[in-house]
Amino acid sequence: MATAQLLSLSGVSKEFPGVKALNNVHFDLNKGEVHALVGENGAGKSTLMKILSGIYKKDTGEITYQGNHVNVSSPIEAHHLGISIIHQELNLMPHLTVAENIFIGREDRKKVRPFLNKTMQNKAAAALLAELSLNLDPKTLVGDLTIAKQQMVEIAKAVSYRGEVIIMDEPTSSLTPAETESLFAIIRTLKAAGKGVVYISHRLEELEQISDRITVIRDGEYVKTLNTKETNIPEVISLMVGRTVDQDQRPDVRPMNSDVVLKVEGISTRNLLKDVSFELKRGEILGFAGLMGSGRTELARALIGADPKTDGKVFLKGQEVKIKSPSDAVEAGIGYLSEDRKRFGLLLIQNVTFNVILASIPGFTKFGFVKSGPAAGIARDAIAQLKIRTPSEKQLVKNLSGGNQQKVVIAKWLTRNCDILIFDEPTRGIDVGAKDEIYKLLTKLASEGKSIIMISSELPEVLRMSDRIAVMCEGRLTGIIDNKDADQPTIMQYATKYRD
Amino acid sequence: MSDVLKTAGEEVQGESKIKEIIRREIGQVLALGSLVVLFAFFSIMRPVFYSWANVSNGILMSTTVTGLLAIGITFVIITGGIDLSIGTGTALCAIMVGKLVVAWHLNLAGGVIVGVVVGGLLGVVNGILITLLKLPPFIATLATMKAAQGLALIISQMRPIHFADGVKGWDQIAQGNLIPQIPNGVTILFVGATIASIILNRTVLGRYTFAIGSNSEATKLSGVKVDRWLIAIYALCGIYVGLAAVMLTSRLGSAQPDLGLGYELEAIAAVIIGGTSILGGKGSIRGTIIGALIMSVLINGLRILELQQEWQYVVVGIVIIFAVWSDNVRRRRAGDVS
Amino acid sequence: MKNKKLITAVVALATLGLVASTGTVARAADKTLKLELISKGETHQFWQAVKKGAVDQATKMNATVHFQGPASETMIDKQLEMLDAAIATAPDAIGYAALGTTESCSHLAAANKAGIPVYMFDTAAKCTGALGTSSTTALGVAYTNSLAAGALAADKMAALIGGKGKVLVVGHSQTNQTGIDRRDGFINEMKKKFPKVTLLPTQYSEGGDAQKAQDIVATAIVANKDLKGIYGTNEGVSIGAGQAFKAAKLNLGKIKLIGFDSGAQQIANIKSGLQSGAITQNPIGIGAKTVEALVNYVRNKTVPKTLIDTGFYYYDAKTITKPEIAADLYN
Repeated sequence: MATAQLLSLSGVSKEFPGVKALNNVHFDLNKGEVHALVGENGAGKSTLMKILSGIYKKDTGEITYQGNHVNVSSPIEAHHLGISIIHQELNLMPHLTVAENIFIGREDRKKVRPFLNKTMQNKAAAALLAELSLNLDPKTLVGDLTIAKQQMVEIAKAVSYRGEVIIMDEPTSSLTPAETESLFAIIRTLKAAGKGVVYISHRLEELEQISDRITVIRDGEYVKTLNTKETNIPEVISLMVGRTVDQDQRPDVRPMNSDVVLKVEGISTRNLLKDVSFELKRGEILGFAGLMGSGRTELARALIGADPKTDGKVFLKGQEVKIKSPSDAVEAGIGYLSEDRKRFGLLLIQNVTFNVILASIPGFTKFGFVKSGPAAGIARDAIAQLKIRTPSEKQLVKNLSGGNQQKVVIAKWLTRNCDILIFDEPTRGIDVGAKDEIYKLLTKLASEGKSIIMISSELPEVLRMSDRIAVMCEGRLTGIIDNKDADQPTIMQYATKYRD
Repeated sequence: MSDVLKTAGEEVQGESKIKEIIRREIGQVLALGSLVVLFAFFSIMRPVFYSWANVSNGILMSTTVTGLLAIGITFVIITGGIDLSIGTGTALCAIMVGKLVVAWHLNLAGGVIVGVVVGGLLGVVNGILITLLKLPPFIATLATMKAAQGLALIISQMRPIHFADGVKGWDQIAQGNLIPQIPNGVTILFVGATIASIILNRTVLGRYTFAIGSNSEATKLSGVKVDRWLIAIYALCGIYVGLAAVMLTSRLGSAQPDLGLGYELEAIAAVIIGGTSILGGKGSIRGTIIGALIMSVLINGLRILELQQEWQYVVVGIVIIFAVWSDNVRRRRAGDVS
Repeated sequence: MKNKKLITAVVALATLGLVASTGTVARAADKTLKLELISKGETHQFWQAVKKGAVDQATKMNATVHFQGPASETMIDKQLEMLDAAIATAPDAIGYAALGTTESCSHLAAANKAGIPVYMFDTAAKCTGALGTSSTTALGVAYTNSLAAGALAADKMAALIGGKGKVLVVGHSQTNQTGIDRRDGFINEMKKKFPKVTLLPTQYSEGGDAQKAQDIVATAIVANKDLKGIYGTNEGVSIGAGQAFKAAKLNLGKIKLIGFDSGAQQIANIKSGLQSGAITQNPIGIGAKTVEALVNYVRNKTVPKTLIDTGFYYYDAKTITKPEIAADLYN
């Protein structure tokens, strides 16, 4: 492996009002190397990469690039230097073609201004895609591609800058295993061409496969740089959280009540779901596993009336209930906690109290007036009970961390006295350390008699938490397995039942 | 440790209550400050500016109609919506009031009820277009703005309706003095503002106004019947439009079919100057009233100084830019917006 | 805008072809003539009176009138669209009240090219070349001499205030030609004949917004304790000024107010003494003369006068019932 140093950051610090985001952090990257950067959310990974790509300015520290001191003052300058970043959220324009997206802002207009030379552009894009062994038509509209293919377009775009450094922020978070594998193939191509790749990921298993070195940061501080070959996942995790965490747990066997709380019969939707039926027992955690697009979130949304169903019945404690809108679901005591908390769960610009009482405001009123005293009281109780870390109930929710935001959403449904809680990816975007707390909370809720549906794409999480595991594929429920009979291969088998 | 929030907000803890309030309401404190500075400036330039005659008749009375419109649209803007129909809606309500009061010889209360009902219905129509037909508020209310303009002209047969002497006491709604020295129009504006403020801050409707504006999808998934509440909010806005129309007819002694177009923009400007976010989720009636007063004080002051009218427009434009820009700067400093 | 002109030209050419093929000789004497009148507005009663004059005259002369105007007098482009549409329907003649005094020139030229005679009313377009049969703009214009009307208002005002003191002009538009003429006629006359009258800087209530006028006058009353007179250049402004007097609880006649046109409220204010008087134009005459000129030209080839001054009067509480004045007032 080439060891010529391509890039080095040393002693980088960055302070935001009231927060020391980075403190004296080091990071370096060699030619032809994949260097993973890991840390919990809020550890400073993104901040560091934003400094490197010119979005933020560093307060102190030095950046050496190809032997020269540089000062990356803007994203444009980063591009000129040859540093490209692929953000976690894709930045593509769905109504433009693959080629147009790749070359946006750099259209070659020299010859026939102001008209674009589309033929040339398509040819260039085709050449680039071939070089990366990507089977994509440059003329396809990006909006018609799957998320995975769109990710590939982002990578092609980054490569098209012909830079030396490519930063990938959580590139596999929405990819299937097969798609991840083809992404790795591209990364290996880039490596072979002598490029340096900075790889940020929460999926530590991937690092073993793709990275050469791993740098861990925690709370804005540099912790350690490890050679991948000489370390293992538990070590990385313990460095990230500062203590050891058990990765492969199974739930304690809880005394299971056999009362069926919720019975779903033959739910179908226009586009995806086909005849889904299952039962949920009191005090049970029913895990829902499956690949992206298998229909788990769609099932939850159809169940709570957020999207229309074409068929199917829902029974609550034996009684059929008509759920046509989310308000019907809430009325029936079903609370839905979306994977995208910021979009579907929280009022970010409002305070904790407001969010906690959001689903139960009529319960805090007298003659239409909201009683602010009891509302704040309930919020303080929730803060204490769920250990929500916030200076007070008046804090705006956007200022809380992911884990605490999730607790606020949970508090909202507990305040509404919901007996059935649907958690969609309960720990997405939540730190390893805080995940543990959410797990404990879920277990506690179940043992207190709440029934929980937990949708998760992380198999260790499903295995750790669920009493039973329902697996979906292509809109159908392919199997429900008892935890004691379940392992990752079995689940994957069900999850790919209808796939080619 | 990384899970613990570390934000500017955390510092609030150590501070005194007053400081906390100032910090939280800094936008309004600044707006109020600007109002005081403007007032002082014009008073020094021409002392007649602060005479009660000018303050009551020149400044406060000229705030009544746009002030009531601005109060109504504050609710809509906090939901993240917009209502362009409030200007021509005022004309439509005024004409309906004129028609019915003059034709049916309704008394004062009857006339006010007609205005409020017509305004409320217009709001319901807006609400239905936005929720059931799922039209964007801008488009829906652009359509009703046009329709209201047309209806006002059709119903009035393009003639102003003179309230003549047959309608007893109609002019007293705005011009009378229930409280000595204070024109009723001003009293109504402030009572209307107080009621609106209570609705916004203390009632279920107010909470949902903020909730919808912060995140309507999350609000809906929390079991709130967002569509119904939105219709109610647009209706409430319409009720204030009706009140503004009653006020306008009382001030003018007539209902003018072509009056009102453009008032919606003045109302929106007042709301924005008052610190309500055009993106929704944040705002206050107090801010809106301060914003409306800033506009009136500015225009009245410039008139008193006899600045050429063309330049008056330019100054107003600059003030709007400055107000919103300074608010943005302040929020960015406080880490309020990313 | 460019496209619009292009379309206009194409439509005009097509119309020309149509006219040529069907033969302009189609016996104009017998058939009912079709006239298009594009006014500055429909909403003000002034325009309603113009319309009445035009329609009545047309009925007498075996012609029909399609009368239309934009919703507000600031909508120049709306009005030009209406003009283009009127040209496209190939009427026998067009009457046009110019909102866009220069903007309308190319549109009028298109009408000329299409062989449609145009006579202007109320306000003439300002295009190159004189009006008349050889003009590409119009045959002529039936109008109120607004400069002279403004001057008359100044004479009356000076008489009311004894030739000295502060006077405020509240205009209804800074861009509309009629508004400009009414203002300038007044101001020039005052400066020329009554040097002791002090004119405050002119204020404007755009579009004749009565409420804005009220606020302007309320402020002016406070700022100028010695204000003697107010001149408002249209009905809305006059109404607003009267209401400001009421709100300030001024004694009747303390400040003299001269307005323009009529309308129920203004007439009531003049009768009650709140307002001193107003200038009325002859809107019925404007409509009638326009139609008369066009029909006679198309049917009998009578060349109309290029300028028809339809006249104006000053009226007050005493003269309001005189027949020649009452005929021009509307409610």
